[in-house]
Amino acid sequence: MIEILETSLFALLALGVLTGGLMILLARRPATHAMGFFIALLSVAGLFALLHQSFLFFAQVLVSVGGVVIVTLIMILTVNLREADLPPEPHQTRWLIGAAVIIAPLSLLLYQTLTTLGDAFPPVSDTFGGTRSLGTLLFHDGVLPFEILSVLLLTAMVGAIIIGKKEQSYDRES
Amino acid sequence: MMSTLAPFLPTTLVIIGAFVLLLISTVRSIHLKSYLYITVVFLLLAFAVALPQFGTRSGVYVLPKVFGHTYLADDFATLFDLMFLGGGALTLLINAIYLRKRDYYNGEFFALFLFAIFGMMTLAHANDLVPAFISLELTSIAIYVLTGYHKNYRGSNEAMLKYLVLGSFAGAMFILGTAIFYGVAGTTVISELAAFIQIHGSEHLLALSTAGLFIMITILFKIGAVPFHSWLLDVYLGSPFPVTMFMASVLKVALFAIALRLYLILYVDTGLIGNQIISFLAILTLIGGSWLAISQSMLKRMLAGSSIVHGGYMLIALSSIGLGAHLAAPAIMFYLLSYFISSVGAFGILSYIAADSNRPLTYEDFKGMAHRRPYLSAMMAISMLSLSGFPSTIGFLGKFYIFMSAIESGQFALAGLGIFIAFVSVYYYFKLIAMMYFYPCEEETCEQHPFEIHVSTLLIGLMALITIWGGIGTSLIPWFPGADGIISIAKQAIGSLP
Repeated sequence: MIEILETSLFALLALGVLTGGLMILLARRPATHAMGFFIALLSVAGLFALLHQSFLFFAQVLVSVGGVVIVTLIMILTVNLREADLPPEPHQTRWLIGAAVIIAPLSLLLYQTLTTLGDAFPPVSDTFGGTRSLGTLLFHDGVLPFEILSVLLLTAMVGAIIIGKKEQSYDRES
Repeated sequence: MMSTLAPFLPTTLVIIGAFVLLLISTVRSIHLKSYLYITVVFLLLAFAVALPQFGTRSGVYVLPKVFGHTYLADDFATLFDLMFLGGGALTLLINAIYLRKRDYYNGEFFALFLFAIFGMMTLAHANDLVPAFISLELTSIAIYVLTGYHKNYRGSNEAMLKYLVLGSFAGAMFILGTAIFYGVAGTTVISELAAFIQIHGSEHLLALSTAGLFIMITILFKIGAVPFHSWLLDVYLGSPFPVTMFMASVLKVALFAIALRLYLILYVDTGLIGNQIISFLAILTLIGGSWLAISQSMLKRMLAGSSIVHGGYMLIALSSIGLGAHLAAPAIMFYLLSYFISSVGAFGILSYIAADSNRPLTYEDFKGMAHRRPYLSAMMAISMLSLSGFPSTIGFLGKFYIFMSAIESGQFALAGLGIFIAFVSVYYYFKLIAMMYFYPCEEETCEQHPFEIHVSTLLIGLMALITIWGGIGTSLIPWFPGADGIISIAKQAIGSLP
């Protein structure tokens, strides 16, 4: 009974991820894109919850859903794009079908690969994925990536400020 | 204590330099020239610290209690550090005139430049796929911003956006590959992965090959190998000259650093599928890149197309590694050095001439150049000869080693194609030489420009001399490495890998 429930929940959440992705691709209005993004990220959070990954679930909800989507929405509202400002996309369906045909064999390869992984892992202990074990991992094996990541965020911030700043009075080519 | 921290010193100096520049970039009274020289001083200081470390270590984990097995200090990484630091300093100094004549550079430009070099250095040292990915993204983000630095120029904006969107997408493949590796082996540490593949490789052949393939896709995208090259021409054209030069030379070295480390560990004697794909992509890259380079009239685009072709030559050697060619890995390192020297010369001259011009340079602009600027024309001709692989230049030896490695691994057809493509490349390189020497000067003022003595022009001259020196490969000065010396240095670096 529980297995059926889990499977159907998984199917529902997977459907949510796919719907969100398709909305981002197909929708015309930027706000609809943001909604699609929201649905996709929330469904991924649900998938984490289904795997009993409490920390990842909360991180996903707080950072991705609560942070990234809100920032996206604020950006869309600030820029205030109108339908007329967007470039025309005359062959959108053709492009989508073409891309899908190209990506199909790659997806098949990924499917084959991921199904062979199967039960390569031993069953996880109860503490796996909890805040405590994650913290230990992060500050033991993950110190170097963590530190480089702080530099990366600084770089991204400096870069964003430079690109966003308006101050120039020159107009030379090349 | 000092000896355990010594491997960190070059990287630390670079990051401290970046912070110093960020802090003083708000001071309005500091001239751009001072920022430039502060950056160069930090780079050269780090170079001086890293230089004596070469040849002392073969694979030491630095501070294993803190960092685990993630940060590796070996001769391989030190050699690449030296190339990044020296290359970064050269790029800035050669473009000094260009930077001076543009109004949009400021202290943050140099800070981002140092951040990019910091990312490359940690990339070369990373013994774990996760820090490798983050370092790659750090470098990429810094370069995305540098690409869009000329904000009032539409081409620069377009270049930044294209590079950002496509580059981030390609970066996602790296994570996917890493995740599959973790799913199979339960680790992302490169040396532990290698040990796992040696023992259990045949049981998980499909998964491991797919994971390796996805990681290679990211690297191939950033190199600009042909199915993933569509961004390259526009990005190279739209970026400011110093950034184009940085991407074409130093960034390429960094990408081959991680490609070589992964390839030497994952693909040699493990039976993973990957060689055939790389060989196939090398063929596509050589042909496609040549086609792109031939069809250009703007010089910056031509050099961009030709940089795709040079990536293709190095892919030949990369695929030969997996087939057991021992010369292949040193050949790639030598080729990186030779391409770096030749392209820095060519881009340097272009940036020097473009500093006074407001539009992209074409072949036509170089008509009768030899009458107006004889010295610069001679240096340009030397760079072009070296890029096309003409004998007696360093470029010839680079190609020679690449084709030797292909023959050593039994890929005769690939070596033949490479030689054919080298002949094709003569067309677009010699076209420029012909424009400079065999056409009369058409402009109103045909009088000779005096040779400006400046650090930029002197360094371009030095590059031309090194090009010839490396090609003739004499050992007139015993302590100074010629071509053989460079190859043995590269072999030593490869030998330090676990």
